[in-house]
Amino acid sequence: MLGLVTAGRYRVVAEQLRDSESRVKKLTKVLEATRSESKGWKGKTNEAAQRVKTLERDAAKREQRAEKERHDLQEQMSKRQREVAHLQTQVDRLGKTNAEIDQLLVRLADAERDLSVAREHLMAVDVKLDILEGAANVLDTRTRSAIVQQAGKTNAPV
Amino acid sequence: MIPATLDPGDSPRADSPLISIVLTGRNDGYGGDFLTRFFRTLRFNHRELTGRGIAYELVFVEWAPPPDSPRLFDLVFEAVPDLDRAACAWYEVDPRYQQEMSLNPWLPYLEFVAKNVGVRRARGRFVLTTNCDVFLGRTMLDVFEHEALRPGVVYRAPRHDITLADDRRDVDWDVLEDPDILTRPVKPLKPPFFAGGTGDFLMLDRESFHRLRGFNQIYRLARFSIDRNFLVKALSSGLTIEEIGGPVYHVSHEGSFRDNRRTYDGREHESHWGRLRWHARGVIYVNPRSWGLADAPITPMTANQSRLEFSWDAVPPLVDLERVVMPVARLGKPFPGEYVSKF
Repeated sequence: MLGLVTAGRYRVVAEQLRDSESRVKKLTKVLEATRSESKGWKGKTNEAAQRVKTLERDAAKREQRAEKERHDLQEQMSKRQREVAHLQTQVDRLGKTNAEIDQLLVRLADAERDLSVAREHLMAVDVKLDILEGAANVLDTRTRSAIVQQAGKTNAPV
Repeated sequence: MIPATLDPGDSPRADSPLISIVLTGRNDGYGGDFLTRFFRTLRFNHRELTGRGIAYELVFVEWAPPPDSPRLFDLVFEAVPDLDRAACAWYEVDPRYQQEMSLNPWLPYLEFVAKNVGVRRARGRFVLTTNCDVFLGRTMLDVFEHEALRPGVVYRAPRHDITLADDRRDVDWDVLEDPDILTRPVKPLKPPFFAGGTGDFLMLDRESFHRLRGFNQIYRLARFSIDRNFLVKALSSGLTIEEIGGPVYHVSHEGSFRDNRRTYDGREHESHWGRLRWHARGVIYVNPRSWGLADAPITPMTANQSRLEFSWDAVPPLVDLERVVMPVARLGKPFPGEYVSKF
């Protein structure tokens, strides 16, 4: 029984073997193509994973930066709020100062008017003093001359 | 109290001349050869006024004339033969008025009291107070000729100081208007007071002059700035001050203020102009109703010459302080002058 097959059977089996070999070749090609494709996908996957990692790092950095900026902003906001409060205090103080200045200006105008009036009166007083001084000198001269005349008449010492 | 009402004087008569020219002087050799300067000026002004047919009266106040010199009245008609005696009113004032009224022994001539004597008695519709050595200019002669004068306006003119040879007897327009004889650059007058050489040309209608009662004769310590003080009073009283439009010509002479203002530096009280620094811009006056020696007895000497005899009744008190008053600051007009330091 050993090694003995019918020719038909042999042809069929040989045909089946050729088909099988052909299929194996095809499958081998498909397998190789698939393997190759798989390698490509694997590379792409690696690249994508790499990119993801990179992006994740970037995102982390940006998040850190954003966090820092948010923190900075909060600090600045706090600082500005403190400044605004300070400025408000100053504005209030300046408002009071302005009111005081307005009052001072009114008083200054009053003082200028008073000064002007005082100067006018001083001018009048000066003129009157001039007249009084002139009159006093005139009367002094007249008196002296009268005394001298009188003395001349009476020979009294002057 | 000073009465609030002011006396406008008598209304002008129908035969009143257009202008009274009020001058004062005496034969004392003031400023060098006074007679030559006076007569030369009078000849020119009289010729120009009469040549244009301008009706004018010359009111001359011979104030406190020296006893040993001929009176100007006795010389003037010979020196200016064309001068019409009938158009002159000559007043000789007893020297005792100078003696008894002066408040300043250094001031030998109460010029503006003398001018008040003339203003008070002037008959013209308008009264021009000027000086004996001031030539009238062409423009004002045109204004007079056309009677383009308005009441209530104080007219002023800038003064051109000129140099003329002492022996020049007559002048004409070619001489007067020659820019080469100007002694110094001309100072333009500035509003609102138009002051500067005011005594050389100050003109106002007679009624307003009377309303203001003439020049200040309360402050009898100065000649200087009494004329300016009148301008302050005029503005304060609501009058207008305007420049008439042309100059007068004043002949420079020895002793004139502009040429000798530094002479009395450090001894201003000795100046013959009297006090140089007083508040002429800041304080005014209310003369008594008898201003211009209205109560002085008058002795007629000739038809056109009178003498104001001395009488204590006509002498105002030495001191009358309530007549020193503050000027009024009128709307749109300047405030009275700044305080002037005396020292």
